[in-house]
Amino acid sequence: MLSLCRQFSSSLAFRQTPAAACLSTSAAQSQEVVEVLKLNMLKDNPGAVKKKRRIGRGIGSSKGKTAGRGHKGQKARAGGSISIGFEGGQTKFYKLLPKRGFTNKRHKTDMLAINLGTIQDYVDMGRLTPTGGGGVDGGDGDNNKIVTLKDLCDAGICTHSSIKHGVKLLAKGKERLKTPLQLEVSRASTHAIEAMEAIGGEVTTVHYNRLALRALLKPNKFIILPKFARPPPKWQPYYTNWDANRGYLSVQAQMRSLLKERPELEEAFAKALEERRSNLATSGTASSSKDD
Amino acid sequence: MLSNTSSLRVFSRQIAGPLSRQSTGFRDKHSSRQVKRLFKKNPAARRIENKMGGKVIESPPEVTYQAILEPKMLPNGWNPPPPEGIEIPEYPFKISRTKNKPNDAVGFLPVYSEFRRDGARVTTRIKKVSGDRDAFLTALRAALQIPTVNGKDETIRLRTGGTIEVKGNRVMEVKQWLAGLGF
Repeated sequence: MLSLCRQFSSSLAFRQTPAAACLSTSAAQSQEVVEVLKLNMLKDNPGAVKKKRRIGRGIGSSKGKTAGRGHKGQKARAGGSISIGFEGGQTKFYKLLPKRGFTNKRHKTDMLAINLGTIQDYVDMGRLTPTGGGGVDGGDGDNNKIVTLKDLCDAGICTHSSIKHGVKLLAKGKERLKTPLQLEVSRASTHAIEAMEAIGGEVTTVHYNRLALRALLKPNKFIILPKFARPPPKWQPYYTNWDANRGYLSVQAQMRSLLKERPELEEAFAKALEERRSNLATSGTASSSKDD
Repeated sequence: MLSNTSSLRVFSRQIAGPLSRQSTGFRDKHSSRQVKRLFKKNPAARRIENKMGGKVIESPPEVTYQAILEPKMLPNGWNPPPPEGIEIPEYPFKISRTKNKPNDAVGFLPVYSEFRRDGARVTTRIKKVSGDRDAFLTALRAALQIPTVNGKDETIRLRTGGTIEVKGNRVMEVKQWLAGLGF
């Protein structure tokens, strides 16, 4: 910029006095002839603008007269085209075959698949910590170290918008799983449950409908957090099953969460269980035993 | 090296008309990029090269910066930062990791692969390089064993914005080298 100014002043000086030095931009060796930039010198680089092909402008252009349309016919006319799928009057391909059935896709609940390997990677990177917020039971922060879908989103494994109806836990990369976590997901595969429990973690499957997901992932949108709905009848067998699914409504899952909240009850339960077993052993009838 | 380019410059001035690059106000037929491309395969340029003694291939520079730790890479390309105890030597350059990760976690090394759809161009890009860039380039050449041909190195290219582009998909190599240095 400075050199340009000097050039300009030097050209002015040349007009006034013939003894004007030709300045060079670089110091010692090479002498470059540099021209002053004028407004009538502004132009695009060669090749920047390519001229459009103009149809129907004479013999020499090779696209004159019929302009690439051939001779006569519907396609040679202005606005002359046929619609897609038209077969000259013959029954169209997509009309030949009969309609069939219906789709119930509107009720499909697609789960987002998250693998154990990914979760372990995020723990290794430091983005996901085993201490989570409260679970379905709404426990306290300290005791409950449950990793919910919101924690997975906050860690960056998925986004709020990618979870349409829930998350399914899958077992890809289970070999590198080494951090025991207490996960609460919508569904889980058998191998994922096995792998997590083998290292001392816990998996619980919980039903979230759209409202529940919204309350879980974006609690700031609510003045009062709603109660989460029970699963519909179709899914009740799923969430009451402990063996295959670790459903949250199963007896074992409810016991587990109860004992976590109130560990003092464990003794009482164990005692009651012993009593019941002994009662069953002695007499064939079941006797009711209640705990406090 | 200098004589070679100046001879080429003289050579270009000898060609009259469209290939001359004098700024006297008339429009050049070819842009400077087009001229460069034409000159790459020009037989006359090759004749001059042979006169100068053919292609001069220098061996890659010596490795000056040794790895200070064994990098452990996760399958997603992340590697942990150097642990607290290790002493990291002073390098003239610095490669900053990516930032703004959840839970204040450490980010990734800024080494990326770039592909053209048809596979015509496959490169590695290194971003966020600060400090002495020439020193970094020498160290990179040494680490990746890139020789210089005719005094120029066509494998490494500097892009605007400071990104360094290396031919080929060498993301893993570069990442492991940088992680080994302690970045």
